[in-house]
Amino acid sequence: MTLISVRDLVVRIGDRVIASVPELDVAAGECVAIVGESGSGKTTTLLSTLGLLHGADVAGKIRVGETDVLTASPARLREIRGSRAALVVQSPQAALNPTMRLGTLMRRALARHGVKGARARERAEEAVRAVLLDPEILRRHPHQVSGGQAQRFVIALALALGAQVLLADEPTSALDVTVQAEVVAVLRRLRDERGLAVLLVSHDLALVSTIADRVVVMRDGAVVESGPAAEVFARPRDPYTRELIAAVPRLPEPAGMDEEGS
Amino acid sequence: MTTPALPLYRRTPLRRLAGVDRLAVAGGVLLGIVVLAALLAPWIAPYPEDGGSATHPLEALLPPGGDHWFGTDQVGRDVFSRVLFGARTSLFIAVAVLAVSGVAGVALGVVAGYAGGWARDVIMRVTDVFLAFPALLLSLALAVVLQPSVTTVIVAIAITWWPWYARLTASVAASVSTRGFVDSARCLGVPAPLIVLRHVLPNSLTPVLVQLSLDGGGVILTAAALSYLGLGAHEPTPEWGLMVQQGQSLFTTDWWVVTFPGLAILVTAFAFNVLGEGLRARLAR
Amino acid sequence: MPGYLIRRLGQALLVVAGVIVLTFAVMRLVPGDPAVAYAGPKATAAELADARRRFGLDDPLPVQLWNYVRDLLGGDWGTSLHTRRPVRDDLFQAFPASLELVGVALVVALVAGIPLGIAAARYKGRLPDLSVRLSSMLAVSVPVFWLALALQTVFASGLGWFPVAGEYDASLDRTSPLHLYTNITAVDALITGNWPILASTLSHLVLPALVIAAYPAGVVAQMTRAALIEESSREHARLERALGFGETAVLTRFSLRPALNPVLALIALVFAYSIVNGFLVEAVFNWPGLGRYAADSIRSLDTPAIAGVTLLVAVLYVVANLVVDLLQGVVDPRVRAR
Repeated sequence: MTLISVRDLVVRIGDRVIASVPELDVAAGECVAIVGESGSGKTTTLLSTLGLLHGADVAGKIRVGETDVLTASPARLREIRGSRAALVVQSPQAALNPTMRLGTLMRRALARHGVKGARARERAEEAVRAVLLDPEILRRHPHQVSGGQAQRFVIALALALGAQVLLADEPTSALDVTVQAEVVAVLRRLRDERGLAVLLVSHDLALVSTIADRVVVMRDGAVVESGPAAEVFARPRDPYTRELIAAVPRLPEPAGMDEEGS
Repeated sequence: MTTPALPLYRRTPLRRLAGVDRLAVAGGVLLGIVVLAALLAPWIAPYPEDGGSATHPLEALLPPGGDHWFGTDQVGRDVFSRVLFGARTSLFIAVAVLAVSGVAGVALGVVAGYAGGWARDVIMRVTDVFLAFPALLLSLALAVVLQPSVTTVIVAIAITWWPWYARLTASVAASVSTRGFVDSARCLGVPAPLIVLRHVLPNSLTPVLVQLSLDGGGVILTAAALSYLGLGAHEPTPEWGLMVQQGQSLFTTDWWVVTFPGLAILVTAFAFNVLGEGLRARLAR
Repeated sequence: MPGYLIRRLGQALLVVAGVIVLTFAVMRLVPGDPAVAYAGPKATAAELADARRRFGLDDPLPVQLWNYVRDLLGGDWGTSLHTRRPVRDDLFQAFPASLELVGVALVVALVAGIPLGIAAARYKGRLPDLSVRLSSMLAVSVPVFWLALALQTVFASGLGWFPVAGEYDASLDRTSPLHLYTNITAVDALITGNWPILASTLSHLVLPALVIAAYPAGVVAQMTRAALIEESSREHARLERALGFGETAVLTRFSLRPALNPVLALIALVFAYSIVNGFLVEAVFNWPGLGRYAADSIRSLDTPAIAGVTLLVAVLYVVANLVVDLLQGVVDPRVRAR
C-alpha cells in the first residue's frame, strides 16, 4: 500500500528551483532514503510532503494516504500532521520545548488529535515502551534526557498519534555513534514489526545502507539516480553517486546482503 | 546538516525585509525634517526674534491662525517659531549626551571585553551600580547639585547613560576577542592596544551605533522631563519641556501653548525610535 | 541552584554597597551647607557649629561614610530638613502610594501589552503587526508629563469623567476614616471594607495609571512580539507544527512561556523606570507618593530626603532584578539547572 506518493514535485523560491522530484513513492513496511549533500533539496522534499514549507512555491502532486497535500485545507493538513505522517527531527533535544515536560507535550499532541484522558495515558505509555523507554521519562524536561532518549521519544510521539509514515530528517546526525545505532535499531524494528513506512533523509550513506530498501540520490535540487538500495550501492550509474559512495570511509556490507534486510 | 539555504517557516521574507527598510526610511525622513528645522530655524521661523527673550504683550495668547500657525504664548511670542528653535536645543542635548556617553561607554566596554578577568569584573560591577539609578532619578539629584542649565542636563543624563554602552560593548567585544583574527594578531605579537583599536573596536561598533540611534528618543524625553521640572533649560531658552511647564496652567483655556511643544517632543522621540527600530530589525537579519 | 543563588545574592549585595557609596558621594556634593539649611540662615556661629557636630560634618569623609552606612543599617535614614521627621517614616508613607500607582499601571501594561504582542507576532508583517508596532513606538515616545496634562485637561477638567487630582476624596476622611495597615490606600480600603474610599481611590487611579502604563505597555508589546517571533522560529516550533498544531497554538501554547523570560527580565527594569516616570505624573495629579516627596525635597535642598528617595529607588531596582532572575528559574527549567 502506497502511503506517500509524490509526482512532478517542483519547489521554487523566487525563480530558483530548490527541489524537483519527478516520482517518489513510499509504501507500508518500506524505508526509502533520500541521500545527497546539504543544499541538495532532500530536506525540502521531505518537508513539502507535510506542507511545512513556507515562503516557497510548491507545484506538482503530493498524496499522504488519501489526502492531496497541495490542495487540502489548512485544517485538514493540520489533522494529518502527526497522525498520518510524523516528523522525526534532526536535533531532538532542540526540537523539544525546553519549558515543557515530555509528558505534557505528549498529552497536548494526543488531545490535539482527539485522544484524551485515560486512553491518552495508555497510548502514551504504550508508545514510550515501544521505543524501549521507561514511562517515567514522561515526567522529565528535555534537558534531563539524553539525545538518544529524546530522539526515541520523538518517535514515540509519532507512534502514539498513530502515524503510519515516519519522516526522518537526518535522525542520527546530532547523536553519538553508539546512540545512532540505538535509534536505527528502533526505526528498523518499527518498520519490520509494525509495517511503518520510513522516508529517511540523510547524507550518511553508512546509515542508509543499513536500513534503506530504496534510495533516491539528489544533487542541486534534482534527482540524479534512484532504485533499490542494493543495486544503487553495488552498481551506481551516476558519477555523483559513485563519488558519494567513494567518500564513505568504510562502507559496511551492501544493504541487500544485510541479514535483517527485507 | 541539511538545513536548506533558504529560510523555512517565514512568510514572504522578501516583503518583510522591504517593510523593515520602509520603517527605517520613514524614521530617517521624519528625523531629517526635525534636523532641517533645527538647522534652518533662524531663516524659516516667521518670527526669529521670538526664539529669544522678545516680548509682545499686546499679542499674548492669540489662538492659532494665519499670522501665528501655533498661536502665541503668554508674553506674545510666536509658538511656531519657538518650537522650531526648540529643535536646536533638544537635538543639541541629544547629540551631546550620546557622543559623550557613547565614547565613554565604548572605551570602557572594549577594555572590559578584551581584557576579561578581573578588569572586566570591576568595570561591570561599577556599571551595575550606575545602572541601578534610573536616568531621570540620578539626573534629578545631580541637577540639584549643579545649578539648572542645558549643560547640567547633558552632564546629568550622560552620567546615567554610559553604562548601557559599556555593558553592550563589553559583551560584543568579548565575543569578538575570541575570534580567529584576534588570536592570530596576538600570536603575531601585535601589542594589545593596537589589537583593541584595529580589530576589536571596529568589529564591536555596529550594535552600539544602532543602540545610540534607538536611545535618541530616550535622551530627548529625559531632557524634556528635567526641563519640565525646572532643573534644565531656563528662560528665555526655547526648550520644549520648559514650554510645557510654563504653559501648563493655561492648558484648559489656551491649549496651543502646551500642545505644540509636547507634540514636538513626541514627534522627535518617535522619529528616533522608528529609525532605531528599523535599523535593529535590519541588523537582526 | 544554591551556588547560582549565592552568587546572584553576592552580586546584588555588591551593587547595593556601590549604590550606597554613590548616593553618599552625590549627597556630599550638594552645594549649600546642610548645617545652614538645618539651623536656618540667621543661626549664630555657635548654633552652626552645634549643627555641624550633630550631623558629623567635621569628621573626615571615610568616617562620615562609615557612620552613614552604620546608621542606614540601623534603620536611621536621617532626618528630613523640611518635614523635620525621620526620612524613613516619610518614605514609609510616600512609597506605598507610588507602589499602588505603578503596580496598577504595570498590571494594565501587561494585560494590554502581552496580547498585543501575541497578535503582532501572529500576523507578522501584516496590518495588525504594523499597527501594534507603530502604536507601541508612539507609546514609548510620548512625554509622560505632557500626556498627563492632556488627559487631565480633557477627561478630568473638561469632561469631568474623572477627578482632577489627589488619591481619594479628602472629605471621606471624616465620613468614613481609613484604618491603615499596609499604607496602600486601595488595599487598606479593601481589607477593611471601606467601600467609599476604595471607589474614590479607584476613580482617582484611572488617569495617572493609564499615563504611567503607556511606556511599559509599548515596551512589553514590542518585546513579546520579538521574543515570540524568535521562539516560534526555533527547532521546537517545527516539531510542534509537524504534530498538527496551528500557528496560534504554536505561539500561545508552546512559545509564549519560553518567550516570557526576556519579557519578565524587562519588567524589573521597567518597574524602576516607571517609579521614576511616575514622579512626573504624581506631580501633575498631585498624587501623595515618592515623586511629590522628591519634588518637595529638591525644592528645599533637603539632602537626607533626596538621598533617601534615591537610595530607595536604586535598591528597589536591584531587588526587582534579583527577584526576576530567580523567577526565571521557575518559568524556565534550564535556568534552574545552571
